Amino acid sequence: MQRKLCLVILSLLVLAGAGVNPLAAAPAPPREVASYAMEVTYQPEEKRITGSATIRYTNVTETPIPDLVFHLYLNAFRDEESVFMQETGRVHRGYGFDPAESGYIEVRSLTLEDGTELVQSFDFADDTLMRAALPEAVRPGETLTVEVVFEARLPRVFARTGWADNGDFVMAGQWFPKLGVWEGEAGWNAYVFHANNEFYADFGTYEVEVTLPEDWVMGATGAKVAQRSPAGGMVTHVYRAEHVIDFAWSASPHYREHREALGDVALRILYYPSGERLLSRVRDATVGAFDLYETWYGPYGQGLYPQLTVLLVPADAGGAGGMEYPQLFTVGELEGQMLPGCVRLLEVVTVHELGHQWFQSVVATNEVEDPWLDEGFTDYSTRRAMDTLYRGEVSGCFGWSFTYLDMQRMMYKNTPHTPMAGRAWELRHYTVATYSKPVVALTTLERVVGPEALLTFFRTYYARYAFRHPDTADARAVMEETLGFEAAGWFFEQLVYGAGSLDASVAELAGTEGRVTRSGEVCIPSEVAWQFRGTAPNRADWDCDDPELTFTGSEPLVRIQINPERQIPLDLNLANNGQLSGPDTGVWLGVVVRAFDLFQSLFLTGGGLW
Amino acid sequence: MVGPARFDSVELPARRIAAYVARALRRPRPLAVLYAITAVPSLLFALLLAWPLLELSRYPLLRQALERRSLGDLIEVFSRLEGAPSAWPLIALLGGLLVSLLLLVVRVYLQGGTLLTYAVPQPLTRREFHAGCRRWFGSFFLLNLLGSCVILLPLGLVVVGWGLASYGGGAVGLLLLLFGALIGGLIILVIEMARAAAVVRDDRNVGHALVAAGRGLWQRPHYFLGLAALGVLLQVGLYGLARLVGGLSIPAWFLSLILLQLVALARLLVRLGRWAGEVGIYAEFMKEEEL
Repeated sequence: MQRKLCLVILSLLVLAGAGVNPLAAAPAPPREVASYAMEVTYQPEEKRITGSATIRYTNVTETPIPDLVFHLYLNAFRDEESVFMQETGRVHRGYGFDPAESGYIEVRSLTLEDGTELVQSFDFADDTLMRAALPEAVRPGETLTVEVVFEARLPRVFARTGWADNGDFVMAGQWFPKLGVWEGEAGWNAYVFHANNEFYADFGTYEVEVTLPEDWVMGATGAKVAQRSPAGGMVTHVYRAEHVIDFAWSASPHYREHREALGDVALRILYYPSGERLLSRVRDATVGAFDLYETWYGPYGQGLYPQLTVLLVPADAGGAGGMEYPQLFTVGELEGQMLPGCVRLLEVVTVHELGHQWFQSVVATNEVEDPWLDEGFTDYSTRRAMDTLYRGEVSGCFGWSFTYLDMQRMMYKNTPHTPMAGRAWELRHYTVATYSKPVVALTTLERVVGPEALLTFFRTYYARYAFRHPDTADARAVMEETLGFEAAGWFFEQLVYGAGSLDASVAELAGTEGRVTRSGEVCIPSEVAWQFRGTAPNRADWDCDDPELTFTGSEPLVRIQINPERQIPLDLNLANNGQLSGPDTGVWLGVVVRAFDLFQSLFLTGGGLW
Repeated sequence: MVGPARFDSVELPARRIAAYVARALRRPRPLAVLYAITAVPSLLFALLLAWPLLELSRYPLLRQALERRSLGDLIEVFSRLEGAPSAWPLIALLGGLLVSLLLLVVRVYLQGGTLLTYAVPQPLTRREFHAGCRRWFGSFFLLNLLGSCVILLPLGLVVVGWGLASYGGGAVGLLLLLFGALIGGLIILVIEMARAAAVVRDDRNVGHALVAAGRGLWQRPHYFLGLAALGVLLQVGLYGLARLVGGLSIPAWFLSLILLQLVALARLLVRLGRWAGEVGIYAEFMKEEEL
C-alpha cells in the first residue's frame, strides 16, 4: 500500500515537472442529449424546405420532463409583429427586412414513437416558441424519440439566414424545429427570439440529408458521408456531425471550393467567383488563427471535429456573413470588396468567427443569458490573434496604425457604464457589453497578471467545460483557481457585474510638487513613475487603498506617468495619465517640420504645368 | 522671328544640352525665387497648424502617438484633452489651399523670366527677368490652362485605375493607372516644350508653340523623353529620400528640417533643370538651322 502511494506521488511529481497540471480536470466526455436525424428537400424557386426530423432527447437531469419546448426561429421573419422585428426595427446589423420576402416555419405534425400525436400550443406571446405537452413525462435517464414533419420558407437573408442572389444562394441557419435546453427544476431554458440574443442548445449527433438541385454545391456542419442521386435532377447530400449543438448549411450553384488539411482537420472554403480575390486573405487568416487558437486554448473540437467549413458569402447575402455555427462559419465579401487592402476588417471577422469554434461550439455557453462569455472571450481572442498575425491592425493605411484594441476602446469609452453580465435583450448597450468592454477588460487583466497566466485560465476553462454549458459563475471559479481570488475579485465584481469606470490622472504637476488621483468606481492596482530634475526616474506601486499619491522634492518635478507600460487600457483617458513640466519642444518642432514639408508638397503640386 | 525648327537634320551631342541644364544651378535666381515663394507660406501655415499642439505636447501620449504612428493614440489625445485644437487646423488647411491657388498664378508669372534666364547667353538682370515674366505671362497662362483642361481625362484614368487596383481590379486597374499617368506625363511634357519653344523662337502665339512642341516630340522624341525620364527618375528618388527622412524620430527635428529642405530644393532644381534642358534643345536646333 505504501509502495503504491509512493508510486502515485512520484507520478504526480513527474507530471508536474513535465508541465502537466495533474490536478487539472480532464476534458469531460461529450454527452449526447439532443440528436437529430433529418431528411429535407430544398426547392430554390420557392425558397422552401420540407421534410422531417427524428429527434432523440435524453433527460440527463433528476427532474421529469412534462412537455417539449421547441424554438421556431424562422417565425421571427414571418411579419413585422414578432418580438424580433419589434426590437430590431426591421433592421439587423445594417441589413433590412423585406416584408415581401418573409419567412416562416410550421410544424405539420409532431408524433411520438408509438404514433401519439402531440398537440402544439403557442403560449409564449411569440410564434418563435412552441410547446407540446407529453402524455407521460420523460423520466430522468430516459430518452424520448419524437418525429417532426415540418415546412419552412426562408426569408430574403438579412439576419443570418435566408436566400439571396435571385434564389441562387441559400444560408440555412436556425432552420428546423430545435428543442430548448431542459435544466431540471428550472424547467426549459428557452426564450422567444429577441433582437440581440443568439442561441443555446444541447449537444448531440446530427445526421442530415439535404436534397438539392444537382448542380448545387453544399457546405455544412460536419463531414459529408454520402451522396445519392434520386431522380429528377436532384442530389441528396448526407452529412454527419457528432458532439455539436446545431446544424447549419449553405448551398449555391456558383460556389467554388478550396480544400486543404490543417493537421487532421479538413478545411474547406466555399466562395463565389466574385470572392476569388479575397480567398487568400480569408484562407491565411483562418490558417494563422487556427494554429494560434490550438496553441493557446487546446485542440479544435477537442480533437473530435474532422472538418471545418468556411463560407465566403457574396455581397448580396451580406446579412448571412459574420456568423458562427459548429464546424462552420461565414464571412461576408463586402468587408473585403468595399474597403482597400490596408483595412483588415475581413481578417477581423474571419479570426473572430473562427474563435467561436472554441468559445461557443465546444464550450457552449448560453448566448441568451450570458452573451458576454462567448462573444467576449472570442473577441478578446480576436484582438490577441490580430496582434500576432497583423500587428493588431484593423487599419494600416498611409503608414498609420489603428488597432483592434483602439477600435474597441473607442466604442467602450462612448458607453462605459455597462456591466458585461446580463441577458442579451436586457443589456442597454449590447455591443459594448458583450464585445468592446470584454476586450478592453480582458486585455487589462492580461497586462496585469501576464499573458501566459491569462492563457492558463483560458486553457483550463476550455478543457474543463468542453461540450458543456458553463455560466458566469463557472468562469469566475476557474479564474479564482488559476489567477487567484484578488484578480478574479476585481475583474468580476467591478467589470463583469459592475458598471463602473476608471480614470486615473495627473492632477497636478507644478514646481517641486505633483499629485495623481483616481476617479470612477473601478480601481485596479497600478504603477506610477516620476522624475525630479537631475535625478534618476522612480517607480512605485499604487494600490487601491490610496485614492491619490503626492510627490514632493527639493528639485523641480520633470515628469509623472501613471502606468508607464500602458497596463490599464480600461482607463477612460490615457492622455491624462502622463504629464511633463513643460511643452516638449522637440516633439512640437518635429511636427512643424513635417507640416512644413506637407505644405511645400501641396504648393508644388501641378508638376511642370504650374 | 525665325521659322519653325526642324529637328530631323542634326544630332545634338549631350554635352550641349547638359550645358543648358547646368544653367539651372549656375543661374540661381529662378530657383531662389521659386523656393522662397513656396517655403515662406508653407512655414507660416505649418506654424499655424502646429501652434495648438505646443501645449498638448506636455502630454507624453502625443509623442508616443507620433513616434509609433498610432492613429488610436492621436485620436485619444485630440478627443479627450481640454484645450484640444478646434478650428485652427481647418483654417490652416483651407488657407493652404487658397494660397496654393494664388501661388499657381504667381508661378505662371515667373515661368517666362525663368525660361528666358536659361535661353539667353548672358545672365539676366532683375529688370530683364521681370520683363520676361510680363512678356510671357498671358501666353503661358493660356497654355497652362489648356493643358490643365486636357489633362483631366488621363487624370480620371489614373483615379479610376488606382481605385480598381486598390479594390481588387488587379492588372486592369494597374494598366489604367499607368496608361493615365503616361498620357498625363506626355501632356505636361508637351506644355513644357511649348513654353520652351515659344521663348526660344520669341513667338507668343500659343498655336505655333504647340506645333513646335508636337514637331519636336515627333521628330526627336528621344531628346525630350530622355530628359523627362531622367527627371522622373530623379524625382522618384527624391520622393523616396523624403519618405526615409519622414521615418526619423520626431524629436530629431533639426536633421529632418535640413534634409527635407535639401530635398525640396533638389526637387525644384530637377524641374528647373528639365525646363532648362528643353530650352537648350530648342536653342541648339535653332542654331543648327541658322547654320
